[in-house]
Amino acid sequence: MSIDWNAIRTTIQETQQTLETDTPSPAVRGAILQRRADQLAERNAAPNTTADTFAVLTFTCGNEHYAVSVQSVLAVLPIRTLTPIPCVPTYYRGIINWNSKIISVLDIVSLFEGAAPSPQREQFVVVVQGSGLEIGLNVNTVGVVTEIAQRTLVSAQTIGQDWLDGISAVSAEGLTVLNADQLFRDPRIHIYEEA
Amino acid sequence: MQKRIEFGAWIGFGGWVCGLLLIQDFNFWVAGIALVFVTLLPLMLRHSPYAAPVVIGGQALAYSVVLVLVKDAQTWLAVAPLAALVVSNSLYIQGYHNEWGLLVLWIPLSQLINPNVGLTIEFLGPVVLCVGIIVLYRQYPLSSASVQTISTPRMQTTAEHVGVWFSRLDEVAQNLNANAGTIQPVISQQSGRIVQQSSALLALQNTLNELDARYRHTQQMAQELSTASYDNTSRLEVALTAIQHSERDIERADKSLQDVGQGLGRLALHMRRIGQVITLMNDLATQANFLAMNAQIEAARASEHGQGFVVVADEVRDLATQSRLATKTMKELVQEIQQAMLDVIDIAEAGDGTLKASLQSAHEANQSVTHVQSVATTQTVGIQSLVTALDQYREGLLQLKSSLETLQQLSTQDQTTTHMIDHLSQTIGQLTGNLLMIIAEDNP
Repeated sequence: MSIDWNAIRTTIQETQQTLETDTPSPAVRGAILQRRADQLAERNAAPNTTADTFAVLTFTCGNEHYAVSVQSVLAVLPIRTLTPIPCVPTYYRGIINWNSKIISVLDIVSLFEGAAPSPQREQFVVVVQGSGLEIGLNVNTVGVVTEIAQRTLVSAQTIGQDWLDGISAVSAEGLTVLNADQLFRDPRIHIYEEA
Repeated sequence: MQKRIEFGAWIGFGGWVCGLLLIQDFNFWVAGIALVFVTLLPLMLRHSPYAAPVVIGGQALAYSVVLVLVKDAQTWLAVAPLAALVVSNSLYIQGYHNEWGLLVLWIPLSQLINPNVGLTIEFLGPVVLCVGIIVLYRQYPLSSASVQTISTPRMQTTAEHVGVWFSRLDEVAQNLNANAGTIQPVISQQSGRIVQQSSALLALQNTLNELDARYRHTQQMAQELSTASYDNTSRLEVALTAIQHSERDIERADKSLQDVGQGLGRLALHMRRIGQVITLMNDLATQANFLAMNAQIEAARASEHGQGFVVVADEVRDLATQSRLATKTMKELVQEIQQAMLDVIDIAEAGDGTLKASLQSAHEANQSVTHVQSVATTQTVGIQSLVTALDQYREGLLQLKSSLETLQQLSTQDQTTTHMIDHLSQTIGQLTGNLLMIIAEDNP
């Protein structure tokens, strides 16, 4: 069986051509820009963009899907160096350095369910601001920024989830919407030095 | 001739009986020996070419014995007719050729045997008698003139005429017989020799033919061998060339494989670099993803003022996600390429080993074939010299053969002549025998 060297050469030349055409043509660029403009026009034309809806960031933690208002989100970042703190509850994962600020990182699964945190959860940190505090939430995956309607939300009190004020509502998509202000006012997350 | 010998033998027997009667102190052994020599031996040898000398010699011996035994002059006189009988008998057998010579020989022989005799009357008496007989025989040969005289009215009686006629006839017969007897032994001897020679020549020719056949076979074999040897040599040449070619090809292939190996090494370095780049790209995509996410968040926080930026941030995040996916695909592809390269390296390594072994084998084959070729060349030269030697040998053989043929032709001619002579001789003998028969029957 003889080898078809020319076929191999042709393949390599094709690869070369593919590599050389790295910049999109002006037509492609124009199409992209047109698409963006259309999207923007669509958003501006939408009637319910004012008070009825609000933007949230979704993320997962354990088996649960969560959402938090983008107004309270400061940043999303990967965990690079997480410094553990001694003599703290299990949901307190440690501290990180974010923009020269010390941020505490909490594991919300441990916080809500009381289970021990698994090491695979140390993926991302969502820095959330509420009631004068800036606290990092350790999450598994970060989802998207999306708009949810205020009226689809079901209050936590009506479904009996009153043990934690932070859980304010459950959306129609099954998202657990967190209220950062209420969550960080909960005394259980406040740690005091015990003499 | 045979009849004449028999006749002579019986005459000798009669003479012997007379001698026995004449001699008083007779010795049994001497008489027996004389009988053997005088009668029995000639009768036994009557078919032999030596029959005539035997009968003459035997009778002469017998007479000599008688002479030895004779004591006095009286007996000598008694023996004289016996001597005449013997001598005439001899002459009769021999024809008329040697009668005087025999007589002359007899005189000193008898003197030698019995010195007492001397040149006395007792001795000379028989001699004179013999001479008289011979003279008488010669005086009255049977001539044509005497035959013609038969018809004349004043001639002898009819019986006398017949007697003379028969004596003349007898003479002729004796003459013929004598001649035939002389020729016969010679011819027989020569014939025997020729037969011997001829058979020897025939054997020699057979041997030569055999040698020639063997030579042809050997030459054919030598030529076949020579051709085969030449073929082998040329084949070896071809094989050697092929081996050298393949050796060079293998060396080239080895060189190419080394180039391939070096190329693979460079490729491996490039692959490592590509892996590093992919890692960097993955990192960049992750960072871009986070940036896009944060941009989305910031845009959302800016509410109405950030509407345009939300679109861009969404786009950026999509791109970041796509980059990550593309990077992941590239990573997989690079892993596949790495696996393929490892396979290629394994194959090339195995091929390298095989090539090295092949090169070694080719070197060995080259050496072996060169050795075989030198041996074959030596062999070819040897075979060619053998063929030349065989050709020379064949030339000698052909010369020998032609000589033999000439010799054989001569021999055949000789043989024909001999046969003719033999036939002639036999015819003469037969004629003589017939004549003798006629004489014996008709002679009163």
